[in-house]
Amino acid sequence: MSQKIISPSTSVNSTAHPGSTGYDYTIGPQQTLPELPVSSSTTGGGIGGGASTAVSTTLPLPSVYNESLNPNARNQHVSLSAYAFLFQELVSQARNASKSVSEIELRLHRSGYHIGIRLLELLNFRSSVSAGFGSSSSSKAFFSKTAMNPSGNALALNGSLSSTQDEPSLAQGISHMKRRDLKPVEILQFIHSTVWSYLFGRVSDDLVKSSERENEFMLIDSAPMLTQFISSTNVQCDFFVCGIIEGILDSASFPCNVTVHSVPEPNFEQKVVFVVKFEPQVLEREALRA
Amino acid sequence: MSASMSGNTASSSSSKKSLKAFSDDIWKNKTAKINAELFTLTYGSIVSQLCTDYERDFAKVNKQLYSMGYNIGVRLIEDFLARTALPRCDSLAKTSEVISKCAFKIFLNVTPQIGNWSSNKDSFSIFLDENPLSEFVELPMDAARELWYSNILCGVLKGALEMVQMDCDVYFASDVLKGDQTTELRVKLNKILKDEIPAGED
Amino acid sequence: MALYSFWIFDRHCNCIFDREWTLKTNPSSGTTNSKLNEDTAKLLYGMVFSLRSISQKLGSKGSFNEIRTIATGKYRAHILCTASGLWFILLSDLGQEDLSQVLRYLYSEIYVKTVVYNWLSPVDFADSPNERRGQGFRKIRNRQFLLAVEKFLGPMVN
Repeated sequence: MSQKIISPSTSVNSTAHPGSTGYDYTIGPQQTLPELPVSSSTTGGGIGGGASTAVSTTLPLPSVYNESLNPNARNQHVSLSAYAFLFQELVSQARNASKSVSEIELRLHRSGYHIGIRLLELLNFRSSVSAGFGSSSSSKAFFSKTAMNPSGNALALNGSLSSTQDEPSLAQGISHMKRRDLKPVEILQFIHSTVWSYLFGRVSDDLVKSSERENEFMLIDSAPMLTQFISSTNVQCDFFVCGIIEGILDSASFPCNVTVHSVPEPNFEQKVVFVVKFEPQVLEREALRA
Repeated sequence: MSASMSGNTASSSSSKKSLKAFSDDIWKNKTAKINAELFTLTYGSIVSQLCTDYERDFAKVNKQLYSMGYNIGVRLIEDFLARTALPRCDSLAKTSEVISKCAFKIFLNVTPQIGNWSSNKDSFSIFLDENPLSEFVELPMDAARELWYSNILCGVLKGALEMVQMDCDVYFASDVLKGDQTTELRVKLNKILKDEIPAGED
Repeated sequence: MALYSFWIFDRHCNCIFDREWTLKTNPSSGTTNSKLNEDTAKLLYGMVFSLRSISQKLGSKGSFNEIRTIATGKYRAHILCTASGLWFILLSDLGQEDLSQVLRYLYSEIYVKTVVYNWLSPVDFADSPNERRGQGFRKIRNRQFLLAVEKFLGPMVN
């Protein structure tokens, strides 16, 4: 089976590049799919419980490629308390597996990092979708099946995967994929606004450049959401958020080191500052570009 | 000395409204919310870290997820009761309804179906059509065989039910992540526990 | 209008928090988690326990008949019993007809947020089976909880 291509640009004819896996500058960024697990409907059934083997129409193992990236395709929220409980267990797990405070923080950092590296592409992709898509009323009409171009790649792909057909796709709303941010300040602004809004429902409280060191920037959060219920511990649980930031910056080719410091203020006892320290090579690159 | 007594206000008011409307109202108006994808990703990060820590011994991972869930459950029940003010359920049927329409709703914003009652009505299944823990999840082949990805939920239910004196077995019977047609969580009531009484009173 | 004391009992029949105010004029007076209150706590527990079993027998089967207030000649006890077996009790003068909202607030906004959400604080205050059934001695000591209780109840003391 030849590989199907989801192309962010609907104008690209995927059949013109059969089997292409590498980056093609004439097309731009594109996602390639591995061989689809057609045979896995049998393997999947075999693994499953007795119930599924008994039924003739066993499902293949679900594939993430069936899922829509449209944020409106599913529940957008869970309760903060459910998250708080889960986060506590994340911290406890890190604590039980560690011998020192710095080791706990390192593990939290690592957990966040794995989330961060997944977010860059996703959030860039979503912010590339033309304005008006976010508003639910207009998007509903747009995402409805009838509005989709039947020859569009997204639908063809969905069909080939026999996925649920009514899952909305964002692919067609993209006119241009947002260019990746090249300057440290741009990518930090992306974190300050887009990423923070995505994670915590509001932009961060401030983004400041260090006056002392050229390669240091500070993101300020007066009321960190994830750690608000965790009190008086010597472990700084916001290292998890450091990890997210560092993951995003790393995958955007801004190698850096992110740390967090708490700076309690009378009205904001839990106020924290995330310090982003870029590696020297980032500044060198900046100098060359200028 | 005089003593005044009456039925629980919350239970009488909630029986007038449907449990669904009651829960929808709590979700809409009395619940702080957070991005569901962050929840999904954070859980994924926990599971994958456990798989590494336990060197892909998935039986151990299942067990650890269950025990993490239990720790959550014994706390989460207080949050649940504080927000709903519900009294103890007088039947398992009522319990199943409260779990699906109320608890799942106000914590995860989903309402799973209840079904598959045993003939003696001591066990039932929760069918998770939507599962915020496992969005975007695809299990590697080795994990698909043994890992119950969302096993933390079993622990949560076990812990929470135990705190309202219901001793239950909770386990996954199937999971779409493994290629099954449904994601089915089984709850079996073993016994109703007695409230403790002070030493010397019995 | 006056508050005299505030008590929390857990599912193991233990008093896990007590706060008694001695001077109406000074909300910071009195004792917190005091050894001296052990006997009072046991008597209070016993009284509520007995009345609770009676009220449950009086109610028809299947309906809940939870005790909410008890009045004597001098004071009134306001009681909130949760399905998880926690009891929150406030003692006030007779002027306070209904403090059920205050109790609910203590439970959902203070206990849940500073004890339940706070993983550094235990939620089960009996560390071993020997500490169950009223034999326990551990108390809620976390600072956030204590501060929140004072801030909320302090203005109601006199």
